Amino acid sequence: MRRWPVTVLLVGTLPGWASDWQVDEAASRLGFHTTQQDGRLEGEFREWDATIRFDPGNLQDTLIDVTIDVGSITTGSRQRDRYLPDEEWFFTGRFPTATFRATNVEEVGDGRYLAHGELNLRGVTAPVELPFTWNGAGDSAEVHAETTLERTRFGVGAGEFADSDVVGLNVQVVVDLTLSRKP
Amino acid sequence: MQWRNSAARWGAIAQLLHWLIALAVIGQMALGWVMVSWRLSPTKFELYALHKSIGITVLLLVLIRLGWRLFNVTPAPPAASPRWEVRAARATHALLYLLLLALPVTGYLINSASNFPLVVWGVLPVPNVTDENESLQTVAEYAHLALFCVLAVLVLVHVAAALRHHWVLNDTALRRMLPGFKPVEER
Repeated sequence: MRRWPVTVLLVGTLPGWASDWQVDEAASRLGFHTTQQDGRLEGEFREWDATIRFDPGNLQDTLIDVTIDVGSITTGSRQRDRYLPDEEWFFTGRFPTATFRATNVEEVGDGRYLAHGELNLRGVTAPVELPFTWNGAGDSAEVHAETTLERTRFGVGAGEFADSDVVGLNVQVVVDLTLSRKP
Repeated sequence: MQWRNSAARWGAIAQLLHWLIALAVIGQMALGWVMVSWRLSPTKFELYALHKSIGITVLLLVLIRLGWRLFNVTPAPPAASPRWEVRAARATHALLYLLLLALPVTGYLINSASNFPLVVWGVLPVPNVTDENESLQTVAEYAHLALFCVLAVLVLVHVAAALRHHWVLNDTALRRMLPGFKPVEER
């Protein structure tokens, strides 16, 4: 909130066009991959909502707020997916949603940004840095973001599964968004 | 050391393949039972991975063995055997080969249809042959179990027949599959 006066100042001086974005769900994906016993394990969350306010010319007024229905996770194997809601993994009975929220974004290169956000997953909130590229043209934009999360930081895969023997510790999160500017 | 087969005995390569596969098959049967009844834990996953790695290895060994058999003479059946016994032995051996191929193949199908990654011995990635398919998985599981039962019976028949040749008929059918055996005509 310490940025509030700056935000007001900047917004007041910019052209008054909106920078709120609508996610094209069919063309967007919140995926991840890791390893299972040296092989590749790939999955995604099917249900999630994102509020995105972003303007490359006005980073001060950024809001990335994503709410994920954790139970919508799928890894392409029902045999495996049956166990993911369990307490050892995502414990969806107690923690049905995960959130990622960032208001602090810095530009790190041409079209490349770094969001300093907070991820709440399985009851644990931790800072997460999410690098992303923004490829905007007029009223549409493509976003690609990738970061690596250590699953045990959030207690995902607890107990006997808390080492990398069966499922890799590092999970690569891959986000692809297709956005259109809200009127 | 005689590597190739002769009319009177199996060579070292054929013997090695026979006993390696025999050992692996007995191990697979035990491992298969243990792993399905193991509680869900990392150990269970490791037992499955081991079973899959051994299974694919057996598949390759059986293919090598069949290839080797093509380029070698097959020792003749004991001269005193009645024709029905020779025929029964041939049928059993053919069926054994078939099962040794069909079991790994159905196992591979189970793995593919359940969309689990397969990395043989942790180093050789094998792509899945189908997308996830639960009904195919169920069919392949029943087939794998049924083939296992047939194989278990045939292995018993095979072992019993070998022991009968050795102790009752006193011929060389078993000894010629053992290292160090010298047939009379080669001494």
